[in-house]
Amino acid sequence: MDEKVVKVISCSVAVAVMILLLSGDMIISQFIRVNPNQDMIVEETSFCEQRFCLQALSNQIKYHDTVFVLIGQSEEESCSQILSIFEETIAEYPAVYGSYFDFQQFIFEEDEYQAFLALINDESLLSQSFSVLIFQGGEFKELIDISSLERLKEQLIDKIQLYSN
Amino acid sequence: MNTKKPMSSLQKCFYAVSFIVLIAAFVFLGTKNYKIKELSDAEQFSREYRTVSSDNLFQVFDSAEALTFLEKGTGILFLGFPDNKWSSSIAEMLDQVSHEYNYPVNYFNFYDERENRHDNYLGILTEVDEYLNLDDKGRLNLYAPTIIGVVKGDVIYFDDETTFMNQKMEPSDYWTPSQKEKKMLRLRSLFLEMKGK
Repeated sequence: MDEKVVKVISCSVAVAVMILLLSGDMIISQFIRVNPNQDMIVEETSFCEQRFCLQALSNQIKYHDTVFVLIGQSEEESCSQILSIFEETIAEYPAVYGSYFDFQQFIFEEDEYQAFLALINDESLLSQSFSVLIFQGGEFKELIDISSLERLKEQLIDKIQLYSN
Repeated sequence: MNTKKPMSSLQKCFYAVSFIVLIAAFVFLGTKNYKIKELSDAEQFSREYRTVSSDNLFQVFDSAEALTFLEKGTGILFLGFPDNKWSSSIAEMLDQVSHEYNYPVNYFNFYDERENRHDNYLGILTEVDEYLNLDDKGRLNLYAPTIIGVVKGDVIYFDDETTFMNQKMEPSDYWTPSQKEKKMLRLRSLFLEMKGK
């Protein structure tokens, strides 16, 4: 190959590399400026699960007028069926906020359990596998004992209508 | 037979100058301080929260400004950070209501300050400590998203509705039209009160 051609190519490559390096640097700095948090940051809290749930429940009661809270034991066979009926029924009534907590989420620590009891003021919850707690206007109103799956939907609708009036 | 001609002095000079110019240009351009366009607060907020347009009324605070605002200011302060999925929903709602009332919202991205527990962040905690709970390490902390209404340094509104949410819950599931409307009503009431101050 002609020496001149080699030199022209070498020179062009050098210039091209320089331009690429410079523009690359600018592109990178632009990207950093536009998107400073490239790593996904998730909200992390320093609360144990029990205290986190208690805080979440407190917030639900504070920010929603009528709250139906299903508390049960996730390991029981009937749990998914009960949860499904609960969610479907509550979803039909936008004025009511529904949530589910596992009973275990409140009883690991004595302090949390006492705080939980202070919220509901009803120790009879201890004897129930599944219960629905009803809160309205920031206060605990009553506890529904879920005795039969067949009547659950009907029970919920009755109470929703009662507290909607 | 192809004999190689020796390079003339002119050629040598040309190549040497070209090489020096290229090196100099490389050094000059590589070390040049490129002016980064100063973004307005609205543009900065819009870049953090992509679903909020750049004609928003947010004013971006640093920690010192946020602390001073809580100590003696009047207005609305939104505390959040963009990678918190719940902050985006609140940012959108605040944007809508701030346009309706033509009233600005102050914004402080507190993520780094919280991680490093800087003095200004600790000062902010002191200003709102009655609304916060101690964590398992016995520390107070702010969580995203939080909205604070302040009148002359007195907190009159503290909203942390979606700071403690079930991890499975998504903002789109939580903010049903009915829930969103309730929230908008509360925000409108806050903005109305603030406009009168």
